[in-house]
Amino acid sequence: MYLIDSTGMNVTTRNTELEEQELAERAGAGDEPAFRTLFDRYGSKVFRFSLLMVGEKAAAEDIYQDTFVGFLKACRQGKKMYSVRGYLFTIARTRCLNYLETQRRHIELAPEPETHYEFDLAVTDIQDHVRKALMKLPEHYREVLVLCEYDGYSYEEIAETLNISRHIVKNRIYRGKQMLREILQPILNDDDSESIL
Amino acid sequence: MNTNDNITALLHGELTDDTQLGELMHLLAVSPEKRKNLLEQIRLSRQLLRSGTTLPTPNTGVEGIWNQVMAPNISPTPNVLNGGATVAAGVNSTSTSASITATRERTKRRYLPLLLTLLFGIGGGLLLGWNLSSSNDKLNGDTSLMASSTMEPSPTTSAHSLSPTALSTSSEHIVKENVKVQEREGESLLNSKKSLSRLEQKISTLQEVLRQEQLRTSTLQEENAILRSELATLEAQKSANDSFSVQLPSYPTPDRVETRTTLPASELRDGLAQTLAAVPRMPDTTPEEKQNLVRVEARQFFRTSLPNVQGLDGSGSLVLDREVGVSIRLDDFGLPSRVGIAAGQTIFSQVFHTNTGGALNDTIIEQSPTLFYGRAYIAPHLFGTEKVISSAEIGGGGTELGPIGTIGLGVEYSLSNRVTLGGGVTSWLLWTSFKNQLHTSTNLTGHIGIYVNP
Repeated sequence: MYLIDSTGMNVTTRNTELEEQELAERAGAGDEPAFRTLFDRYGSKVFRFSLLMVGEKAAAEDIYQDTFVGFLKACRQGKKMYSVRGYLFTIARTRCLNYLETQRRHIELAPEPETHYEFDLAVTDIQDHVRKALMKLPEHYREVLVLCEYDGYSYEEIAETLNISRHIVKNRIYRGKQMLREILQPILNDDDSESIL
Repeated sequence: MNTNDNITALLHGELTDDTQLGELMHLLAVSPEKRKNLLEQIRLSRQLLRSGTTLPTPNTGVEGIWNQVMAPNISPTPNVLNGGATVAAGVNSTSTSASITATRERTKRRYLPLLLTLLFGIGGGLLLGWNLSSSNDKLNGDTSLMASSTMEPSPTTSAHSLSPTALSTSSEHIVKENVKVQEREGESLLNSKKSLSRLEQKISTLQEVLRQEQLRTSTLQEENAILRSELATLEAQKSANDSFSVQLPSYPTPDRVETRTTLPASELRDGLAQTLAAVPRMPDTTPEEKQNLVRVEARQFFRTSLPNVQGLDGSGSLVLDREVGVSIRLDDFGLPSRVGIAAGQTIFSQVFHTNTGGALNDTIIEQSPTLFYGRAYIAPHLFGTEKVISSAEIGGGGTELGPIGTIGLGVEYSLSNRVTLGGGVTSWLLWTSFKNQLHTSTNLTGHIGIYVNP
């Protein structure tokens, strides 16, 4: 059972946000353990988000590092953050989209032949197929799916992070999963033999 | 909100409305399609979770990031180092990239020791100059000046030195210049990365083209080898044919072909006819066939006497007898025919009529002697194909009682190079001496036979 405050927000979430705001202020003041706490909490998530968004480890590493550098500088500047998580993911998301846009422009300059993605279950790792299938989704579907499925954020948290409505989050998650199901149909059919629970 | 939407929300723990939850549960209970959808979504979520467990981890730790921003030796304000609000750029700008910042930080680390050395050098120099000025004052014996100079630098000296504010401004200027240089380097690096990526793509494209060309070359080489072997075979055939060919003066030479674009049909026809006429005829039979010119023959006869056919005597109308023989083809001697000899045994169940007086005699004498006979025959070919040959047959021989003559028609069918089946119809004429009188007798004979080339 969730406790909801007068603004309609989950009390636990509100407490976490307050705690994180305090940690961010302390980090800006030079408190390394405070920054470390936030880094431990969000470092792997931001990196995973970046990696699944851009699909390249080197670029994801740059984005992840840049995100925390930017965050720490904002802390030093004393910038007020309503939500540390939202702030981090907003930076990471913006940079991922910038990177993808740059890549798209680059690909437009030197177009490569269209290749159809085919499954070869015997050769390649299934998890690799799943990640590649995720990369085929449009970014706005991909980001909500990553935040929801990999990081376990609720629709409300994703809506806050991406600054969109909860309804849109829900809609995008549903449509993104539909597209994934279509792409991954061979794998899902192959998975029939396994137990569900 | 549709059911599938609700299933997704249920899996994510987002379906909190009891009514919707109840409806969904009911639908899942009654609809196999919805249950299938639920199972697929569960599988999808599981695969997504699994794929997230094997992701690589970042190389940069918290210390690296902390040191980049919060290193104690870096005193400039964040705005100066960031070249204008990196954080804001991170959120709003579309031009700053992660690689630019990383490059900036690396360059910063490279230049900072140099900058600090420079600053310390300037400070040390100033301090040294100030001390030297004080010493000169002491040497001049001006105690009051000396006293004052120990308290603070002289106005003249301080005019040549940099105040702390000026130093700070100068440092900021240097840092700004460095930042600009680093930004340019970063942009240059980004452009280089793009160029590199484009070059890599071009290389991969060229490699693919090269691979296809190699494949095509190998295919052409194989085709070339095949063509060479075919050419060699054709040349061998040509040389074999040349031994049979005769050069004809009227045959179109290459010069004539070159000077004339077309040959008149009549000239072409005449040339071909002359060429064909000049080519020696190949033997009709191959050496193997020559070996099979001689064959052994066995025939079964169905013979009846003509008088019986005429109805004068109804008894003993059909006799069956056999003969064996040997024949040889005469094609090599310019006669498309076959000659042979045969021997057999037959029963002439006949009614003999005397031919004295030129009229039938009512005295009828019946004889059915069993006679051995031998005969020779020649069978010129009438017409035929590769498998079937028809021929006429004329033969003569003798029996124990008198001479015989045969005339007939036959047809043969070659089952193989060795075995031939035959059939035909023959009329036999027998001269018989009976009671010192010569009698003639005719009969009609059908036969089937098998002929074997040994």
